[in-house]
Amino acid sequence: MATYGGWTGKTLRVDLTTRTSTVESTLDKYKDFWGGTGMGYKVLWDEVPASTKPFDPENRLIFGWGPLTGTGAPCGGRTCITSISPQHTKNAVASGHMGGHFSAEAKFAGWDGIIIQGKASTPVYLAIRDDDVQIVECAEHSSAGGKLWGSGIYATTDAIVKQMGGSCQVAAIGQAGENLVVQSVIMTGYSHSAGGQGSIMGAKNLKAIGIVGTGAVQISADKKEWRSLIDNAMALIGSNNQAVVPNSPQPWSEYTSNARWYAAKGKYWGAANPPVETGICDPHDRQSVGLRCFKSDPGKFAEQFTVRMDGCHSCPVRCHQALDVPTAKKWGVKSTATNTCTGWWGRGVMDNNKVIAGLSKQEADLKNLESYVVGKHMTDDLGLHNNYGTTERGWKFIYGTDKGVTWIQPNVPADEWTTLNKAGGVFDLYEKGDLNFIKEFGRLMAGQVGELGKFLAGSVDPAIDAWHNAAGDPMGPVYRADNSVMYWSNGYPKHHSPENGGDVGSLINTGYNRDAQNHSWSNYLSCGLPTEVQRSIADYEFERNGYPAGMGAAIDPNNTCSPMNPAKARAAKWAQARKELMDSTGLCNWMWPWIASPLKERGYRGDISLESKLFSLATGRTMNTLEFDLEGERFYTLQRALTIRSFGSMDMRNLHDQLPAWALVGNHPGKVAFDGSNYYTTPEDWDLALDLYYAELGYDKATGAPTRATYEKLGLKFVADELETAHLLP
Amino acid sequence: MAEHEILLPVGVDVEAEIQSGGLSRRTFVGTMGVAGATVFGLSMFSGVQSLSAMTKTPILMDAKGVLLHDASRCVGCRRCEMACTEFNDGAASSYLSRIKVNRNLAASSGVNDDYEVVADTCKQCPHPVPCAEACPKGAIRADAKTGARIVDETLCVGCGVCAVACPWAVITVNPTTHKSTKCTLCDGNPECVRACPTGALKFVKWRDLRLTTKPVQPGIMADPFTSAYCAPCHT
Amino acid sequence: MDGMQQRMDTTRDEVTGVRVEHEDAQGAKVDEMSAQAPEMEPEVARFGVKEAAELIRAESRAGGLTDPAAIAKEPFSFDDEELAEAMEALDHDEAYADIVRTADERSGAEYLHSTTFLTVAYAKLAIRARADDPAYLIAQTVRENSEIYPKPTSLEFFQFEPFGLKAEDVLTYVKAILADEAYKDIRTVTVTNGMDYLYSDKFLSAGQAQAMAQWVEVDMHLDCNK
Repeated sequence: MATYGGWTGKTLRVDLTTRTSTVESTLDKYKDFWGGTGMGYKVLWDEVPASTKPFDPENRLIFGWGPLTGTGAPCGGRTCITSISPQHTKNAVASGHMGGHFSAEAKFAGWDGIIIQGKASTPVYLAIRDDDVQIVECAEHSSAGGKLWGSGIYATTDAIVKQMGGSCQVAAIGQAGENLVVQSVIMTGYSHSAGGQGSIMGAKNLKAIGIVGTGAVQISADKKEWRSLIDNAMALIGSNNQAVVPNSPQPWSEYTSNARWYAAKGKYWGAANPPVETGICDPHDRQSVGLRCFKSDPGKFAEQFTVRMDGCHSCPVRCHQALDVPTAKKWGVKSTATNTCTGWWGRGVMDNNKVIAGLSKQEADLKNLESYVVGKHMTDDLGLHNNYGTTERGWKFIYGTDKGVTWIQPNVPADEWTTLNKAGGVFDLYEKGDLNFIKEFGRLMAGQVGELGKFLAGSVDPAIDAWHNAAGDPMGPVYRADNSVMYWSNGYPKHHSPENGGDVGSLINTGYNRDAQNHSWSNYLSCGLPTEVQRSIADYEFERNGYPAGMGAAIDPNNTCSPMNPAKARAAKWAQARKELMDSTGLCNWMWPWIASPLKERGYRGDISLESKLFSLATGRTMNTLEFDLEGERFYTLQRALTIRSFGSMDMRNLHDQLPAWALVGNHPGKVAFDGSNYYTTPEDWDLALDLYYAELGYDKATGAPTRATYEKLGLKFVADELETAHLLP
Repeated sequence: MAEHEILLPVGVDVEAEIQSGGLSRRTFVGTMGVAGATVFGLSMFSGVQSLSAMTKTPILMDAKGVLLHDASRCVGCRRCEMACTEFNDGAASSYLSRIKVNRNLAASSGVNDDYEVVADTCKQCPHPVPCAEACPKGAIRADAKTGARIVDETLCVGCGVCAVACPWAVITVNPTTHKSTKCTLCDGNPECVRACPTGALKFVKWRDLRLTTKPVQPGIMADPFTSAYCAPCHT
Repeated sequence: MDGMQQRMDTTRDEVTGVRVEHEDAQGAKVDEMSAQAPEMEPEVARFGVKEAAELIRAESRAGGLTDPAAIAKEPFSFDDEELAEAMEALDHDEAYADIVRTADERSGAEYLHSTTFLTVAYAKLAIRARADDPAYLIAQTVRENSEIYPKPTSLEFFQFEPFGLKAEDVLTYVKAILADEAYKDIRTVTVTNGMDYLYSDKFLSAGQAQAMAQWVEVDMHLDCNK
C-alpha cells in the first residue's frame, strides 16, 4: 500500500453501547471514498439497513472531513456529518455541514473521520487527545449551567475547553438535541452549526466531542511545489461565494456587482481597536484578501459594531461577522455575537414592522441589530436548526394575518391556545415586537412545549399534513404551494434552486434529501461578472479541462430561466460532483470551485483544476480534473443509491425529482416562461431537463435510477448487486 | 561562526584581556539590548571554581527584525501556522508552528468574548535570551544574517528546557524529531507575514516587545546578580 | 495611512499573467513607518518622467486620476518642451506601458492613469463624475450597466465613490432625467421593498429589469433573514 500525504490513515469508530473505540485504516476501508460525505455514504451503505430509523442505536453518525483538512489549502475548514435524516419524510441520507476549527484539530489528533454508533446508557461526551479516546460521563463534569447534560452549547463548550485546554475544539448539542428536536444542530466554536442532526446525537446520549491534536498533516509533494500551488490559489481567490467583482466601484476593477466583496475606502470594522479600514483591496495585494468580504447581514448600520470578521480554519475570506452590540445586553444576552447568513436566524422569526414600530431610525436600527444578537444567542445556545429558513417562514405562515386563528388554533388544545394568547405570552410578545419573543419561541421549540412547540420542533411533512384549518382542510397542500414558504419536497426548502440558474438550479436542488447545500454553480452566477463574460469564461475553462465545448450555454442569470439544453445537464452534474468532492476533501463548497478570478490580466478566468492539483500534491494520488470529477460522480451516485434504498423504490423521477408547484409558470397567472422576467419553467421543459440530466449521469430515463453499467463504471458494482436483489435496479 | 558571535578559547582571562586592551570594555554588555555586544567564551576567573563545568555564556547580538502581530486585524484564520509549518517542514501542524494562534482562539470567542485573537510570536529577545541561556548545550544561537535566535539541531538534544524557559511558550519540541523548534524568521522573509490575509503580521525592525506582551508562563531567567553564570560581566 | 498594506515587489508571471513576489528578496523587508528616510542627494534632484510616472501610479493606486496639466505644475515644474517630452515618453516607452490617457467622452479632455492600478472603465466613471453633469452621469452609467451586464442600477449606487452624490440629490436628478427627452430610454422599476432601480429600455425590458432588481434587493437575501 502506497503511503499518502493528506490522510492520517486512521479513522476512529466509537461504539457508545459497549463504550469502546476502535481504529480503522482509512485507506484500507475508504480509499475510494476519501472522507466526509464519501466516507459517510459508504458507511451507511455497508452498515445501516433501510429499515433503520434515525434514533435507533444502529444508525451511524459519521463526522468526516478530508485529506486537505488541516492544511493550508485555502478554505479547508469544513466538517461534514452524514447520517439518515430525522427531518426527511423517508429518513433518507443527508449531511450537515459545520465550519470552524473542529476538523483541523481532528486531523492534528490523527483522525480522518469519527464514526459514532450505538447508544450510551447514560449521557456521555468524548474526550479525544491525539490517540487517547475517553468516553466520559456527563455526570462527572459540571459546567456553568449545572450538569453538562442539560446545559446549552456555550456552557458545554466552555466547560470542555477549560478541562482539555485552550487548543481544544468542541462539537456539541444543546438542549434541543437532547430533547430530540428534529430541527436541531450540532455546533462547534460557538457559531458554526451543522443542521439537522442534533437529535441523532441526543438519541445516542452523546453530548459533545472535545478534541485536541498535537500532530501534523503530511504534505506528499515537495514543500516548494506545495508553496507554489498555494500561492497560485491565493492569487486566484475571490471573496465570499466566489465574488470576483467588488460591490462598489474600485479603481482596479472594470466592473461592479452585488457580490459579497464589500470592502471600500471609508468602510471600517468600526468596533476594532483601533478601527480597521477595509480599503481598496486590489486583488494583487495578498495582505488584503481577508478584508474584502465584510459581509454585513444586518445592514450598513452594523459596520460600526463589527469587531472583525471570522470564519473557518485556513480560510482567508472570513464570511462570519463578529459584532459587539452593547445594548443587546438588556435582553439578557452577551453583547458579542458572530455568525453569517441563516446562522442569524432567530432574528427572522420577528415581524420587522412590529419590531421597529414607533421607533426613530436610529432606535429602529439599533433594535434590529439587537434582534440579530438575541436571535443568534437563542438559537446557537439551545442548538436549534432553522431548516434553511423554513422555521421562520413556516412560523409566519401559521401565524398568518389573523394571529394564528386559521392555522394554529384548530390544532392546539384550548388551554394551550389561552396560554399562547395571554398577556406577556408568546403572541403578545410577537405583536409588540418585543425581542423576548425570540427567547420564548426558542423555549417552546427546544422543549417541544405544547402542540405548537412540537410542530415547530418536528419533521416538517408529518407536521403540516397533520395540521388543518377549522373546516378540517389539511394545511399541507396550502403550505407547500405557498411561494413565500419556499417549500421544495420531502420536508425541506429550496436552497439556490431555479432562482439560481433556472433548470440547473432546480436539478441541483432535487439531487439531495435536504436543502441542497450546493454552491458550485450558484456562486458563479453571482460572482459579479457580466453574463457574456461568464459564458465565455465557462466555455474556455471547461473545454480546457477536457469537458465538451459550450458550457457557457448552461448559464441563466439569476432570477431567470431559459429552455433546457445539454450544457445545463452537464453543469448540474458537475456542480453535484464538485459539492461531493469538496465535502470529501474538506474544502468549502460555499467558496470552491473557482471558475472565475478577480484578475483582469487573466480575463477573469479562475482555474477549475485547482482542487485536483491540491489533492494530487497533498496526497500523492495524482489525478487530473476529469478524473477528479469522476470520483465525485461516484460519491454522488452512491448517495443516489442510498436514497433509492430508503425510498424502497427506484422511481426517483416521480417520487423524488419533481418540482414544487410554485416553480411552474402555470401557477403564476400573467407570467410567461422563458421571457427573462422570471425563473419559472414548464412541465415539458422539466421533463426534458430530467431526460438530459439522467442521460448525462448514466441513469435510467424512465426512473432516474443509476443503471448497472453506471454503477460498474464508477466502481460501485457491489451497489448494483445489492439493488438488483432488491429489485431496485433498472 | 556567525558574525554576531566571537568565541574566546576556554581559559582566556577576560579581565586581563580588557586591561591589556585586547578586548574593549565597551563591547561588554552593560545594559540589555545594546547593539555591538559580542558573544565570548568565558574563561575561569581566578577563584571562581564553580565555573569549571561551564563552557559558554551566550550573549547574542540583537536580531535585525522581529514579528509584530496586530490583534485588531487578526481574524483567526491560522494561515500563518500553516505557512510556518508546511513551507518549512512539509507538514501542517498548529502544535509545531512557531507562531501560535490555535491555543488562543477559545479565549477570543468563548470565555473572553472580545474577539481579539492574540498570536504568540517569538520576541527574538535581547540579552539575556531565556531560551539560549537555558540551553545546556548552547544550541540556540543568533543567525548570521538576521540575528534570529535559531536552534542548531546538531547540538540540540530535545531536553525541552528552552520550551520551559521561554516566557511566551513559543518553543516546541517536535515529538517526531526530538528537536526543539522555534521561529527562525525564515531567513529574513517570514512565511507567516507573507501568508497573513489581513496584514495583521508585519516584519519590522527589531524592537523590544517583551514588556508589551504578557508572558504566558514564568519562564526561566538567570538572576544576573546572584548567578555565577552571569558573574563575569555583572559584578 | 492606507491600513498596513505593504508595497510588494512583484513581477508578472509570463505564462499566467499573475503577479508573483520576487523569490530572491534579499534580507529583511522593513516596516515603512520605522525605516530611515533616504539620504538626500547634495543637489536638489531634477524630477523627470520617471518621477511623473511614479506620481501617476501612486495616484491611481489611491483611486485618483492625474490631469496632465498638473504634471506641469508642482512638483515637476516642467516647461512646455519638457512636458511634451515627458508625455511622449509616457505614451510610447515600454517602461510606462501601463500609463494611459482616458478621455472625457464628451469634452475630449484627457486624464492619465496607470492601468496596473486603475482601469479604463473606472477612469470613465470618475471622469463622468468630474464633469459636473449628474444627469448625464446617472443616465449614461445606467445605460452602460443595462447593456454590459446587463443589469438595472440602484439609486444608491451613485452615493458610492467616485460619484459621491447625496441620496436626496440623486432623487432630484432622476426626476429631471425622467422628464428629459434626451433620456427617454431611462425608466424605473420599484422592488417589493420599495427600492427604486433604473434601467435603459434600449437594452432591458421592464420584466427583466424587475426580476434582476428584485433579486438584488430581496430574493438574494431571503435566506440571510434581512
